[in-house]
Amino acid sequence: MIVFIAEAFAGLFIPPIRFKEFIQQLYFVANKSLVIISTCVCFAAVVTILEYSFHLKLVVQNDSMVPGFATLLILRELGAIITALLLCSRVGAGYASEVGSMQTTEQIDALRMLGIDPINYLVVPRLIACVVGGMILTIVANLTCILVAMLISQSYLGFTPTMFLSAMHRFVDFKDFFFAVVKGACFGAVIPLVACYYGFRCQPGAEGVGKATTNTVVTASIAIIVIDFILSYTFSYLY
Amino acid sequence: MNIISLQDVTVAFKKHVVLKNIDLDIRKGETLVLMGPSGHGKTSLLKTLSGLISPENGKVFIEQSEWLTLSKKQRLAILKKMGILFQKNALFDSFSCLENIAFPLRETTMLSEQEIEEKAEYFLEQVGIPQARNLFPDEISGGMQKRLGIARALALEPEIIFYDDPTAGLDPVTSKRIVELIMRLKKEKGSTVVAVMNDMNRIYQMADTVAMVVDQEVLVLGSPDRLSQHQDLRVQQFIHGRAEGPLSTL
Repeated sequence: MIVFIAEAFAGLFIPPIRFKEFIQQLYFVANKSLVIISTCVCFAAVVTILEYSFHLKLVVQNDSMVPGFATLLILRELGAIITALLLCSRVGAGYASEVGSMQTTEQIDALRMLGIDPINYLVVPRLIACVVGGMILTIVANLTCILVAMLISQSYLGFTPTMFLSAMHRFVDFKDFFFAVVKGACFGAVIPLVACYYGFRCQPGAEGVGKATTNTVVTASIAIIVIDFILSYTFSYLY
Repeated sequence: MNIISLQDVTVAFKKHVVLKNIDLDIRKGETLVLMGPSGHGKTSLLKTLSGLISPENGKVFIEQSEWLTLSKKQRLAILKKMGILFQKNALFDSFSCLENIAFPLRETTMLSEQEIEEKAEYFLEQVGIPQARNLFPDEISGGMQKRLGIARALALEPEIIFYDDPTAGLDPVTSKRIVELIMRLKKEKGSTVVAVMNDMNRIYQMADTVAMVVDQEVLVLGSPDRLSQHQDLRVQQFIHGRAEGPLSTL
């Protein structure tokens, strides 16, 4: 897998630059995932506010810090990780089955025989699209999540938007937002690399494609959680 | 002059040896047909000859260059001189028939869009399916898919063309026409042809040299008219299609 990842990253610097394929993939990754991710982070925002309110009331009998804590959690964890896990199941599974089908029907061999590097043609545009798409979706997910958290805080806890934003301003730094985008980019890179790796090694038949898809979702999900830990730990020294 | 040579080549998949200590030379302009029982490694040999499978042992020379020592860039340059028709065609199912032919031209040549389209249409006409221009591979018959596969294999006007069972699953009339098409295109381009085939009538029709892949080895049998005199019982059983004989125990 290390060799495959190295080849994919080396492919970023080898022409031709496939702008058309990149745009097609970005549309598939970002635009088609937008509604699913926005919907899911809305529910995550509601749960975050309710849980913080419950626990702060229980411990310090005061929920004034809910907006600040909730926004921090959203920016540092929820927005990026929910986006990544949803992308993993939608885009990762899609890529694994698509590339796996191409492998089993010898379309990847056909590319090689036509003098076209399959890494350059299949992996590189997907990698760039997922990195860019991951960043965009993480930003959108964070903003949506914070907006919904603000609305729930108003209706459930009585915080006006001004109070919410003022509390958020006290707790949140630009670095939180920046690190969330970095996480989005890293998680975005993991998904196509894992999916294409399993797709390229797909065994013949429907079972082979199924296994490649399952392995992709499991491996990429675990990788995202491990990378999240590594990045969170690293960023903790930079706050 | 040999355009492809195998020297003491062994091919294995996960310790299962498919081909053992193979020596084979293919001359420029020759039509070599590989025949033999199913599962004995004809397709593996074809893919080894085309550089798609790397052998466990031995050396593969393509155009006098040792394949395994070449860089990725050098390999891609040689691959552009080859065309292949896969057993199941391996057509790009998200592209239309015209796009299947235009795609390699767009990727590997400096032709303008208009020239690419004209050339793709020319090859569709050459294989007799101009009406399938805007259809997708799933929307055309098996015979038309074979023709499209041949057109795509020929699009870059390769010097060496590999055909993996080009008549498999086709009716006798269509398979005869496909072989006639292959031979006509070979004559026009003067290319080297390596084909996997089991239909004896078609083998007699197209081969300069016949080789039989059996029991992990390759028996080079010479010209088709010498097949009936060959002493090996496996060869006799195969060419006469007998159920009894040494091949039946495999």
